[in-house]
Amino acid sequence: MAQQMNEAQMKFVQELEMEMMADMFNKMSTTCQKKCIPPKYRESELTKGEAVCLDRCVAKYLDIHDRIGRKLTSLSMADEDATKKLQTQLQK
Amino acid sequence: MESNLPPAMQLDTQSTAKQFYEFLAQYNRVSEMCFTHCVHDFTTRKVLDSENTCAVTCLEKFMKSVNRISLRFQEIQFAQSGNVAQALATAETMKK
Repeated sequence: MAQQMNEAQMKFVQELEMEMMADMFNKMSTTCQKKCIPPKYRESELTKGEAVCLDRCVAKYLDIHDRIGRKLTSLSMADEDATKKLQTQLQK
Repeated sequence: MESNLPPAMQLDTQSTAKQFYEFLAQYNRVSEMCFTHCVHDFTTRKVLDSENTCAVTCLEKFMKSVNRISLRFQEIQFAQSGNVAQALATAETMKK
């Protein structure tokens, strides 16, 4: 029974991760396009500068995304600890 | 551990999942916002120290502003639903 729960949970988490990854990708695409590609549109080919900028933008976006994730996790854990302490106090 | 809490405080799987979903969606939003506002130097692939500090500060500020916004929102909701006493109690306990 517990194993079934875990499988269902795992599937849910995997689907959620996929969706969030897609969402992150969309945001990253929009952001890097705004940052790197001026809205002039004289020709359809990417210039060397634009291409290199996009490469760097993607690298930086993923790096910042990770750093924010790590900080968010540590803030959440600290918050969770405080909530647990409050709960144990309330139960007394 | 869950059974020790009154039924009103027990989280069912649905709302926990929904909360987690919202948490992740917010994570993506913060990433996008802080990256847009903090990162301007595309002469390198490396994240500069100033950009790193800016992003982390951005996150902390965002979290604090969300907390404050939800607090004020709660106050106003309580006041609108006619429950002035509850609104005052919330404001008192959470003013820091």
